[in-house]
Amino acid sequence: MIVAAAVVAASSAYVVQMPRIRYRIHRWEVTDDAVYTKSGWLTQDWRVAPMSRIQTVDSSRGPLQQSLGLATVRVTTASAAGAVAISALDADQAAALVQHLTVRTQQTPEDGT
Amino acid sequence: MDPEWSRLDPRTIAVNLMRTAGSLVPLFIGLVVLGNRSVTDSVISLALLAVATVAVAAADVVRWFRTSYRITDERVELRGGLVTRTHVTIPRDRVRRVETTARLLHRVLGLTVLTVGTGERGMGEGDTLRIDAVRVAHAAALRAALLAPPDQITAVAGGAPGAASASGAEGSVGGTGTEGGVGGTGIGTTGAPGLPGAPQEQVLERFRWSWAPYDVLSYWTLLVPLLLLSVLFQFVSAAGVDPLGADVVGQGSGWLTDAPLGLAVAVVVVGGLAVGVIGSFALFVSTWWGYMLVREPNRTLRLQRGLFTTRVTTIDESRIRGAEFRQSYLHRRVHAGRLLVIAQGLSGQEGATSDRSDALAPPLPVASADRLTALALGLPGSSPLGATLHRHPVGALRRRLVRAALTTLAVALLTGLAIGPGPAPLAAAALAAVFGALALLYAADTYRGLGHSVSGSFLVTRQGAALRRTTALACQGVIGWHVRQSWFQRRRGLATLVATTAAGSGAYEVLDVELSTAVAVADAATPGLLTPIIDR
Repeated sequence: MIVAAAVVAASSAYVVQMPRIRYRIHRWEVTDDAVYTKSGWLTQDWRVAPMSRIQTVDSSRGPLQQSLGLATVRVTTASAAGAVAISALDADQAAALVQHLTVRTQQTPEDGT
Repeated sequence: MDPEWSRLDPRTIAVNLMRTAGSLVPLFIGLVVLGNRSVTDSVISLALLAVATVAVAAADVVRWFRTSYRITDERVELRGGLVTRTHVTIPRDRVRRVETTARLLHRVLGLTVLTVGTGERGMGEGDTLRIDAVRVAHAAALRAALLAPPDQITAVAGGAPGAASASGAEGSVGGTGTEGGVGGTGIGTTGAPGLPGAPQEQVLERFRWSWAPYDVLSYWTLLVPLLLLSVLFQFVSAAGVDPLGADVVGQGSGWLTDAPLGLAVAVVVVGGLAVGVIGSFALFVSTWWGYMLVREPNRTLRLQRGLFTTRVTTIDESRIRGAEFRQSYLHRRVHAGRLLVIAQGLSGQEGATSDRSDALAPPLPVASADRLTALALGLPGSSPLGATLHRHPVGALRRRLVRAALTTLAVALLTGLAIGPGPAPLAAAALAAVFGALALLYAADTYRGLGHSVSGSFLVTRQGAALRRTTALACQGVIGWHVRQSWFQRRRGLATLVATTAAGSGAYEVLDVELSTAVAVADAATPGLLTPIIDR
């Protein structure tokens, strides 16, 4: 009984608190030079992808994201480890961002490696 | 106009046939020789085997007819597939690596397999293309043409006399294939820089017998005797003989048990080691015989090696992004290690190190490795791998000690549980004490291995104890950063900095440095890129 109670308490605390903590930590920013993200909660991760090295820009929307009007923008570089994802953006904002990034990366003619 | 499609060399069929026949031999022995059956059974088995052989041979012939390749001004293309048709296309400006591999059968028939790679992982099938197999001379011409500077790119076999044509008459294909190979030597690039003996080639390093001991000194050498023993043991058991009861082994082990214990152990250890050393030495010679690292005039490095299977890897020098030095614990004791190149198109995939395409040399002494690194990377001064590295903060040592202590605790608990009550806990405690001491030493050694520096235009990082890896990554090859902080790292104010790159394994880490150091390192390597986010 005590164990079960503890499990229930821990998981409800997790369900209530984790998203808040994540929401407080997650950040993204697009400057003229690079795309930045910060994500994670226990392990936090800052990622940078320079504009001149971006190879592909795509957005995806899962069923849950669709119902909430959200979208995830993913930016990849030539490195297998270099992908930067901005998850759960407002769908319109995501579309505008993809457009902006696509235009920007076409202006920098390096081969990205 | 695009050139015609070319067929593989017809001798490929012969190679495949011989290989098939070879692989059927054990089956033949199993079914007919060892199979303790009646005559009719044997005849049926033989007939089935014959049918299988014919079917496989027919498949080989059909596959040969359906496989063709061509190299146009823009693309390398390969069509093939027995049932499912495949068509692989690689744009020529994406070619980063060209490799030829000839196994023994190929060499007897003068053939070689040409592999073309782009080094773009995550693209699946389209990443590499294998032309299996063509004449050696033709492969050399294709290789030279594929690695030609962009302004000299020409379609191979386009307009060449007697270019092997897929639409050629069946009977004459063998002849045209050969001519295409010979004729192809002269086309592609002017001056054919890929040919051995061309005047401007610079040999950076050659095979050295004095390096053999470093290759022999590996964990494999210690493992070989164990493997051999277990194989022998199983073989004897399978033959229906109890290995320990058998006369020969019984006598041997009887002699061993009768003899003084120390002598018996010594005999087993020395004998096993001798087998291991001889085996490793043979492997060294077969892998590295004829090793040569050559700088070719058209800005490529050529790496060739092999006694039975010969292998020639060509790397576009403009795609080289650094080097990595790997030292096992044994190699560290004798100041030696393995040297790998970090380049696009040479995947950093793990595997037997001797079989990797990115191995620049056999295991070699540190001084030779430094010299060769500087030469291969085209650096005038010393190798970045030999740079003095900054020590990591004490917090990194604490993390490793805590990990060692926790592992020891877990081991102690588990052995304690497994042994149960009685006089044994004393033994468990002793075991845990020994394990704990070793774990703490290991932790300290791992900490001593940590280091980083931005030396010249290279980001140099070092980590590991059982396998110590020092990597030097060219700053211009860094195409992004991650800064990672686990909860434990945040408590100690530490962070892990990861440089991402398109070459090698794709990510190189600086473990457990202070957050400010991580930012400073990234800033020194790629000024102004990481600072904007960390500041706020």
